[in-house]
Amino acid sequence: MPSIETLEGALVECGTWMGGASFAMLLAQRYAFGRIVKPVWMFDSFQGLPPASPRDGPAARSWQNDVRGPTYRDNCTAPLNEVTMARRHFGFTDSEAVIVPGWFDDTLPASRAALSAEKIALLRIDCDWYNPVSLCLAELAPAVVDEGRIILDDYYVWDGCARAAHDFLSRNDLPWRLRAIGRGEDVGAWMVKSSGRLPSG
Amino acid sequence: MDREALIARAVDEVAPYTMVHPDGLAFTVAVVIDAVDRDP
Repeated sequence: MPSIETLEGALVECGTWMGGASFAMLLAQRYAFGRIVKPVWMFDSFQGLPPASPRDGPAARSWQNDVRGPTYRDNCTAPLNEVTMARRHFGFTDSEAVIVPGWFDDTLPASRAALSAEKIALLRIDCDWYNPVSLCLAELAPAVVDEGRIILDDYYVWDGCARAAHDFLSRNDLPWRLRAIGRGEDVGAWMVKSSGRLPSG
Repeated sequence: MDREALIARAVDEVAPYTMVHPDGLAFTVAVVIDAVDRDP
């Protein structure tokens, strides 16, 4: 079994909001290695979240209807120009922080060939609802290398994210284990891709 | 800079640009460091 230290592939975040997690992935490389070794692909609509569906559960629909709620943040909308400015603020190039704006239905299939060639070492999924999480897993998990990591930020927050992960694993008959992230509270889940029946990307 | 300090610095610097829980962000950064560590 190869060690994760030998992993090939890019870093991918689906659902970046203002880009903080993606920029942290790049800053860490700058501080640890003095250069950016792995680029980060940053997928986001930059138009907020799509409507929650029944599979996302009542809490999700309630959250999306509460437009004055403290965590609503304009339906998690991040203006593209502000994220581009943030990229400049941190001094990353557009080939280091690869911003891919648009709805996942369009951008993920369009990027699949490039990412299948480059491979993915880490797939970080932070797009809340059942439909986008399902799409991210279906389109991009095949490009994740063996022993690569898949992080599901919203697994413990929203029913739809958990359902999407369970359905993906079940649909593909995959035995990958979901593991909790966090010290004292569950702030996300992650799993390791291992060889299985999933077709390679 | 040691590993923990490096992770803490990266997490702290991006705080205005993220809603991710700091523990989740630190985990992500740690995975990245491990993935890159022996990259050619």
